[in-house]
Amino acid sequence: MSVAERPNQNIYARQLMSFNPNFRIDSANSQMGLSGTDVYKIYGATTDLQSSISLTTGGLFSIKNDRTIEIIAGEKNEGKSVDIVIVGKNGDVCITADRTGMVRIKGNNIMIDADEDVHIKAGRSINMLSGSGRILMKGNKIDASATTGTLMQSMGQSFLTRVFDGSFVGSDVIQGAIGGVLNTVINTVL
Amino acid sequence: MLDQSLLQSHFIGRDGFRWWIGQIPPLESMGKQVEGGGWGNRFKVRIIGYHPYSEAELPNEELPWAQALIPTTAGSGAANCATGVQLQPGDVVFGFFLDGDNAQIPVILATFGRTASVPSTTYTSPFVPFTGFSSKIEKKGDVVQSSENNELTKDFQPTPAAIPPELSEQAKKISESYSIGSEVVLANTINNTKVDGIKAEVNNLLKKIQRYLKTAQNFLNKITIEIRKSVDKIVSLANDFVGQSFNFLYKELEFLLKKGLDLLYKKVYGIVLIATGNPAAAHLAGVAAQTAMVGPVKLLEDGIACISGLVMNSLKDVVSDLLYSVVESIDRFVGCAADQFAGSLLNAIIDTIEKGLSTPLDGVEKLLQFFSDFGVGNLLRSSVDALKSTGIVLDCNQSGDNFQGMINSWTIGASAKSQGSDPYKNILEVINLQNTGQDVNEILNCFTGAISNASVPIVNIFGGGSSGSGAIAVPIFGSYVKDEKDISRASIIGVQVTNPGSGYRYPPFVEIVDDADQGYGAVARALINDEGQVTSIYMVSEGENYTPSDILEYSTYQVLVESGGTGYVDGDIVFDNLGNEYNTQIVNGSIYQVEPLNNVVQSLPILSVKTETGSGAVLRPLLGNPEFKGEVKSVINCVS
Repeated sequence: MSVAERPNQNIYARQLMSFNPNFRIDSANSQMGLSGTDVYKIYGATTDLQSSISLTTGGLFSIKNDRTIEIIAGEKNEGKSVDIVIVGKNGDVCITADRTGMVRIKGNNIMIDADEDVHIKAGRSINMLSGSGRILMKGNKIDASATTGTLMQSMGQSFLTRVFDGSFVGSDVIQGAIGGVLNTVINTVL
Repeated sequence: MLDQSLLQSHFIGRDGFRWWIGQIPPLESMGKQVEGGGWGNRFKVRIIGYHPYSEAELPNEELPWAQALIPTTAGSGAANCATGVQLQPGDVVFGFFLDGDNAQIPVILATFGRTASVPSTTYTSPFVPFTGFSSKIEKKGDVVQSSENNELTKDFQPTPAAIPPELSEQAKKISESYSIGSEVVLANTINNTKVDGIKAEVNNLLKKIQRYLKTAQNFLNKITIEIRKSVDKIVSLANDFVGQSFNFLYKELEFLLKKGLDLLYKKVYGIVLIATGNPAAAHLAGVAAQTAMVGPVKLLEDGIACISGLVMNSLKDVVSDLLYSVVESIDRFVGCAADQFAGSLLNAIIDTIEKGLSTPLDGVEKLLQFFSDFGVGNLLRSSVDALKSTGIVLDCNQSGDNFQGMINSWTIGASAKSQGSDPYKNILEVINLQNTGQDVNEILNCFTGAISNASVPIVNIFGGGSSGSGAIAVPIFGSYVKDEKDISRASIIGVQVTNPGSGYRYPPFVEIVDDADQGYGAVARALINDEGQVTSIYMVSEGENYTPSDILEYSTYQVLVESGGTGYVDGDIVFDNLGNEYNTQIVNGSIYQVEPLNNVVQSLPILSVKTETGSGAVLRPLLGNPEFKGEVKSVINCVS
């Protein structure tokens, strides 16, 4: 089955500068893409890699590259200037490392400033490490919920404690089973 | 001869102009000039009427050099203003001699554009057309279709298109990026999108495999690598499910073990009391029985992190097996196949958790003995529905509005992607069917084979913030054309709103989906009224190659003035590409209203304004069937 292209395409409006098979600037190309036709496309290719910058009639401005995209700015800016600004005027700003890549953010200081909520979720673990300073959690209300762990143990809310709560087994036995962990936690907290 | 020479001025133009037409020979004849060791923009040229047709009489290497003139817009190189000369071997060039009749100093003024009829074969002999590709500029083929013409035709210098690579063969075009058409699931901490992520990963994998099978030489190796990457990704995505399963399981176990301790005490107490008649001894025996369970329960607690880790490690093989079976058995990943895969995966994960927990649970068997229907597998299967949420509970001061209507998925090169109403619904059915040993394929009747008959596209309306929902629309087809099998194909020239829905705070996304992956390129936008209803949908791009439904007659029932522009005056005429004129109301230099003609159209009208003073008006025709018009409660006349 082949694609049946629509009739009455505006071929005349197209303007092209093709420098060689590796690079071209194409405008008003009437061929259809997923987001409409191209308003313009700056296209470059090597033997097996492609890259492009384009705007479609559907309103999608797109930058694509088969390998790495590098954005560098601010080499001559002063210390407290702004080097790169990414602004979403109305909708979400989504950054996704698809497949198994990481989103890595590094800076001298990192600020996450939300007018409303900050949500952090991990499919596996969340690690928070502090070097020479502290970890501060401050709010009107702090809740913690888990099945086990030292925080739960320090609050007397470990799985073992909750299971034996109301039984005839003495708390000394439970603490004995927990072992030195509870004392360690209590000493650390206090 | 001498007289002639004496009579000449040797000044260009005064002795008449000597025009010529010639051909640039192969690069090999130009030596250092094409190796970067020459000067100027010079090319050897064989000139018709001046130079012989035979290389034996005059080798290409001995042809005169011709300088190429550069247009004023290209820059001479002064002040860094320069544009490279693009002449290539085989080009037929036009020029004149600087030295008139002496004909030794040719200058190239321009070149004739090649047409598709010009042969582009390798060089054979002088003046025979030949390809411009050479050792210096080689054909690419894989990334840019080779083309050697410069004429106003549809197929002139095809540029790679923004289409999915799996559509390349059908469209006879090269895709500009292998990423186009693949799905990306966006971050979401409120709704559990892991199942969507798994579906998207498998879907993208199958598309890649389709592409490799068609194009890659070493496709088996590439497919293996891609499957391995997908396995890693899916195992990562499964982390969340495993973690939540453990949380759910331990909450249930807490309740059961607590109850079990009580029942154990009573059982032991009863036995000892009967045997001894001593309540104190019976109590001590019951307490001892409970105390004896401290160790096994602690072991179970300690096992949470370790066992979930072990489950995750063992999942790689499970996912790999499942993935290979999908790759081998289906041609394309449709929604139902996605559900089957996700259901099978969740079932496999549950089985793995059940096996992993069997040893620690053996230790507390004395407590679980009172619950004969307890089983990890059954418990977890019954909990899958609860995993739709990520488990984050919003506090009383947090609004959930921010997360309603959030876009969870994106199609690269296209737009936001809808997810359907409940991604878990069919998965639960698959899990239950598999668990009862029934044939899922037979019952769900999921067709995953190659497309033979394309289906009619559907319109999804989603997003729009807050609690917007319920809007329904159907596509309107036009610009009909027959494909090579004489099957009717069409563009989508409008979208008819059949139910305006309610509760939309912002215009929702409009997604036009062709499940058969045949039609593409239609882009539409919705408009809402103050009541949060979708009033109309206008086309931004009509797309092509869609399978149309029954052909109905549609008319332009409204012209949306998206922008009125400025500088328009009475007498300016709004017209379309179909030859129609529209009555127009202009207020303060801006187009305020355009009356629709209500005429039947077969293609999307493109409206323009005939004016000498105005500019900036954006007019969108809205097409519809008059019988549906009554359902649209309110129409926006002017959006600016």
